[in-house]
Amino acid sequence: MHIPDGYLSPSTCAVAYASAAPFWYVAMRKVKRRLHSRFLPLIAVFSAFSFVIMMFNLPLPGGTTGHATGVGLAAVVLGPWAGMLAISVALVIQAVFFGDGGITAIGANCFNIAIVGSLVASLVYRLVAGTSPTGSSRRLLGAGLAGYAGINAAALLTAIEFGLQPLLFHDATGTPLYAPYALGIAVPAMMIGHLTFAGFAEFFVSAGVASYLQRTDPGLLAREAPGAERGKPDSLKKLWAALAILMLLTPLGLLAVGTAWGEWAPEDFSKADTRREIAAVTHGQAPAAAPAGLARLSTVWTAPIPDYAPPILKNAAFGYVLSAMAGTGLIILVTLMLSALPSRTRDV
Amino acid sequence: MAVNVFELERVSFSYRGVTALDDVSLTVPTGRRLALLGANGCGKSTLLRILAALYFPDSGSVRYHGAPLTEAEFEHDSFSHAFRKRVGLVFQNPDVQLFCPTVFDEVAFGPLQLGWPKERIRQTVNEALDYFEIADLRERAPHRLSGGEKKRVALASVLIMDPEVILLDEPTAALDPRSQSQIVALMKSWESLGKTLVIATHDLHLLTEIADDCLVLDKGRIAGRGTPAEILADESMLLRANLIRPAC
Amino acid sequence: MSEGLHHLVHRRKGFLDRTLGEISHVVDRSFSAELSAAQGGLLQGVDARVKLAGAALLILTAAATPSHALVAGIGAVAVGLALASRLRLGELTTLWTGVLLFSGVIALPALFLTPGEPWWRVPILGWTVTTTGFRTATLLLARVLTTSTLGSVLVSTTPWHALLRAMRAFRLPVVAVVLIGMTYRYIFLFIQTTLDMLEGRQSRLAGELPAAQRRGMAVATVGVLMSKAFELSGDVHLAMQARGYRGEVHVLDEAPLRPLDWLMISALTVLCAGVLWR
Repeated sequence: MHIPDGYLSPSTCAVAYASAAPFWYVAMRKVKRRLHSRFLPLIAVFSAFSFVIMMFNLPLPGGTTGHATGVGLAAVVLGPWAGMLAISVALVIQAVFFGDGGITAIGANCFNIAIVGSLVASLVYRLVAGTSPTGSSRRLLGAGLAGYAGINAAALLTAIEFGLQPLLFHDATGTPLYAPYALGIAVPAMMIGHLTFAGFAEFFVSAGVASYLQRTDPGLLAREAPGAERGKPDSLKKLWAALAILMLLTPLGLLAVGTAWGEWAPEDFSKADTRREIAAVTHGQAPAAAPAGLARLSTVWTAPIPDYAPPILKNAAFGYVLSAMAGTGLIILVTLMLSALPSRTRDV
Repeated sequence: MAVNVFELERVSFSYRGVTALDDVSLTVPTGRRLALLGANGCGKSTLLRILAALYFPDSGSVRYHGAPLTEAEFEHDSFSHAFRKRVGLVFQNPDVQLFCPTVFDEVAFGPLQLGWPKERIRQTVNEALDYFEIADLRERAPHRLSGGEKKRVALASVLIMDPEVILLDEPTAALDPRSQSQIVALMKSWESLGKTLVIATHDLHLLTEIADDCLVLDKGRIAGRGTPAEILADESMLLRANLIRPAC
Repeated sequence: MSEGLHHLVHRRKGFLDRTLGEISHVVDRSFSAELSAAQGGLLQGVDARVKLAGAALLILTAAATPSHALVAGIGAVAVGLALASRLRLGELTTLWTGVLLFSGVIALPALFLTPGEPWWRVPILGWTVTTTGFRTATLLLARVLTTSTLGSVLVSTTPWHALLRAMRAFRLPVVAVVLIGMTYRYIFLFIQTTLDMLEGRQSRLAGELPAAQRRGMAVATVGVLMSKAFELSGDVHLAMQARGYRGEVHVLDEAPLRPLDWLMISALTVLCAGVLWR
């Protein structure tokens, strides 16, 4: 989903802009170097294409429909860098001209969907598709999983950003000033929809279009394929490096958010009301009359962390940073496992 | 100055593995109007793009005023700018040609890229908008224009640079009769200005009005050449090139 | 988060109808914005750069302040500006309904889930609304309503190309502005292409196809669109080159801001900073 204005604090938005900027800069340089003067029409036209397909309602199993962002497709045919630029431009236009997503949240939406989404999708595609021929079904699986992983990585990041808001930004009475739900609620609420509807929509669009291209325009799939004639794609190492930078940015970004607003001093966590708030959420002790389902969900998600954390990590702030990093790590782990499976069956 | 604007010698070109031009030789004399005739997919558009130095031949040579046109020459800003200013190409599909947010931006695009002084650009663009009767469309987005309006904007965006050679790809295709006759009248008016014209078309009716010479292309090869009268008289050649239907 | 609900509400309609619906919504929105931007009204006469700066400042203030009253005040100013610029109230209410549906679903559970003093007990259900829950849910909704109204007022009183040029005044790189401009232009070409493809298919399909087949159809449409996109981008590149483009785009400079414009921007900046840090 596109984050509207008002869900994230201005300082979170500023950090998101600051985190997105270096990626835009590097992407622009890389794309210019590789495509020369072609980059401008290619990115613009592909961006317009992804804007339009974001309006498509895709029929899903079970009689529902879902939207795709095209983040998987962009990663497959353009690669991560051109892809993140194209999706970013589409997101900017949605926010500014069509009110879909907030203007202050453009940085965050671009960072989550366009940048992290593209990098994760590219990585998954490269790992799963490997060096399989452009016409192989393994390449289709790679494209589909790329879309699925890309959109879910974006959703998880969005959920983490939401979930940090009540901890970092609340007034003296403990009233959350922005998105009101802590991680324990925000993450499952966000992920349930994305692991199912949105993820499937992205899977079908990426795999389906890749299959369509195999039949009609295989050249488009060869662009990013390793060893393709036209331009060399980035080495896997570089993609891993980009993701590693992202993981390191996570705690730095959180620190920046907290200190910029001056609300994240350690003594904050010794204040009675703050602690009560954190405790209520992390231990699943929502108010007595909370809807039972949501309360249970929050327990499922957060229960292990406080219980098994070593004493040194009892500091709640550290715990949150850790869980944010763990989330990113989880995505990478799942990616690796996915890539390991098909390659082993192939070797046998 | 050479008598010929373009001299093509044994030019062949293939696009995505398909031969688009096969052993084409031709000369375009200064100030003449040459019509490229042929059915869809005969190689007319490719030939225009070779003349505009957007494609470079796989084999054979292209000369412009006696100087060879190669990809290496276009690495230099000065050469590229001089050539782009003097040779203008109007694409068949106005959606390809019109890529700017507004009509004004579109017409100003060429001069801006060629580095004209900004004040001169503003003035010339306004003159061009008046000349093509599109001044009231200046802030209009391309997707809000009719087919005839798009064509006029496309012409204005190329002619603002006052090129000596104008390459036109199907200038009258998909236009209503009124817009069509406007465009034809415009093309006729350029004759007195001494412009060299190369017009790709499959519309035989226009031939005598807009061309001095004709070249018929069929599957990337030259199938015939001559004056409009000679070409129109050679029915068997026109039949082979799929330009006319067999008489029933 | 409301995606799931959205699916349930719309599951009965076919994907063609829904896709066509969303596309026509985008076209309508851009068209009505163009119309209202061409009308005479208060904000239509203001320089786009001033409006962009003003909207950004007000949105930022509404997003930064912890005060309900200030957010509501800015919201009232936004509505006042909209009316003074002759925007139709109907369009604003459509906007608000959409925003309330989306964010309302998200804000509602916060009434009960936010830890705090009990404030009101819902009869029959017996759930307790907390004071903090009430405050956070209303603050979120007030912010979202105010900021979306401000965004809508900006877009509805400013021709989009003027807004595009205004972005350059705020140090957005030329290449970014050109990219956004070209993308916007080609969105409408692809919308036209999509409508042609979908409407052709819709008329050919009398009965409902199985889901897998409908999905295949949607995906094929996306595939065709993508092939066209790549072909188009190649041709556009040639058309740009033919007119002298070599990788760097050069654009005309804007006329400098008038002193009065500067005064308006500065006054608003001081005002916003003042209310935030008082």
